[in-house]
Amino acid sequence: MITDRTPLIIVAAISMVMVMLLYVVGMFVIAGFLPPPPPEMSQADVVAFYQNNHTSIIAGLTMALVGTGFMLPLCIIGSVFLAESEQGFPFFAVMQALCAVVTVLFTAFPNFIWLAAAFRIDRSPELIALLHDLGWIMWATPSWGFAFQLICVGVCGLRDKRPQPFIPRWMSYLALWVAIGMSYTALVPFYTSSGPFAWNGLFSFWIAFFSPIFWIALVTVMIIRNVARSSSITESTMESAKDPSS
Amino acid sequence: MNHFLKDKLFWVLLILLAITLLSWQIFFSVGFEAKTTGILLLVFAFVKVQIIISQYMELNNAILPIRVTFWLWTIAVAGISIGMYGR
Amino acid sequence: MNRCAETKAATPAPSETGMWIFILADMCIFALYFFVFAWDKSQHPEQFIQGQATLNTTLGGANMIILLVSSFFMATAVHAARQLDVARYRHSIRLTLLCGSAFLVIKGFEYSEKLNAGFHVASNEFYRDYFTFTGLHALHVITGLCLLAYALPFGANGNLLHQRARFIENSGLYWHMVDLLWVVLFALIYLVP
Repeated sequence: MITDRTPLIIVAAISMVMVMLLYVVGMFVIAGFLPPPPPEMSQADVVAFYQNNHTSIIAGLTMALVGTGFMLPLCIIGSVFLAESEQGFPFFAVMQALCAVVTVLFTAFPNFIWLAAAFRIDRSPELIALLHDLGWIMWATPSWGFAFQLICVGVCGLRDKRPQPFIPRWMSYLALWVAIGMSYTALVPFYTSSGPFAWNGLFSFWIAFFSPIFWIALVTVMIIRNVARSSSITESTMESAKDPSS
Repeated sequence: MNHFLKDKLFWVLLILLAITLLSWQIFFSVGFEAKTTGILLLVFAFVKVQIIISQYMELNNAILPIRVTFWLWTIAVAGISIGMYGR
Repeated sequence: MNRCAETKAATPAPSETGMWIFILADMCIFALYFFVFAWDKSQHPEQFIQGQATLNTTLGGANMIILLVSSFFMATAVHAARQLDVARYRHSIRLTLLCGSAFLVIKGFEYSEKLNAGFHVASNEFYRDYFTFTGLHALHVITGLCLLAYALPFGANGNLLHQRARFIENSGLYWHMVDLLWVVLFALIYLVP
């Protein structure tokens, strides 16, 4: 049974715009939290960062928090496609949706912690630095939420034997690669200074953050093409049904 | 024994082991200067890599873009690694 | 059974593009590991020379030979699967599994040597690179062994081998990738002065 695409498209479009506007702009531009600061930043520099950028940090982080909410509808739309390809109980669709909740929560929680750090600027410097570290470890280390989402998509995609699978097989393989390629974020807590596996590192940040984004961009393009193709098939079917001579 | 000698895969293994032994010999005994030793070892390593890709992974059975990409990978990674090391 | 008799000729199955893309992506990440290692080595030459001296080159070399031999067995298994030779397939997969397990045992022994000597993943740049890059490679070996353990029962009969040909070919590609990555890691970390 194919779900009506129109409401999905509307929800997806709104959600994607809101995530870009709120989360990306909020974290990268307004709060200035991304790309991450080096772990070896001195306590004095950390405190100064929160004190000097107090208002923009609170504004940016709050915007980003609202933005994380919009990630959820996007993930659930993915579950719709997974469920359509599954027989019986849609295990992978449900699993993906629940893992999406984990991903969104762990993306949002650090913002609350950083907001607490910025909340009272006359708080003890050790406490501000502690909240700063806590937020970063919570933001950078967990990747299993999104990794499991991708594994669900990959496994479902490879098992999809329909003539028009929801994504081509190579995208499923790529999903599995991105999932395992996020596993080294577990090394973040070992490194208190910059390096490839620190929270600002080449692997733990740049690759672990941007490879999922790259995959999401690719899958979005594919789904758009999929939807355009199936709506043109529907239109031509309706046209030939109307025309009595064909 | 004859069965092995007729097996192309076995000859590939022997060649890979021979190159490994040669590398071992260079590492432990032959008295080149350190950088030269290092570069030779890396060259041998990437030769082994390309043998594995072409003989065991049977790259020639893949479509042309894949064959080109994997050759490029070996050449680029070998070049960059050796270049970074040799500086 | 007649259909199996027709496919007895050992024609190579077309390799799946998606799997090659996966392999390429993984090899590109490992290429970054190689570059990071080379860069760190140029930044901390003394530390890396000292660190390399503490490594057990014999164990690393043994692992090199084990993986090369395992690749031979894996390739044999794939060829046996194409010819629907179930006995040779099962035999070769088991030998590959044995080699892979031996690799992990030796790796475990090596790591415990280092850890007992007080070196760990955040000791310094050399040990960070050594533990993380060889550790991530070991995780790939474990994944490969899981794939092979899953593929072993396909040797029950020729029909099953024929049906699961794609999985077997893909597992072969994956295992050879694991082997070739160790070829470079071994040279770069253990040997290159």
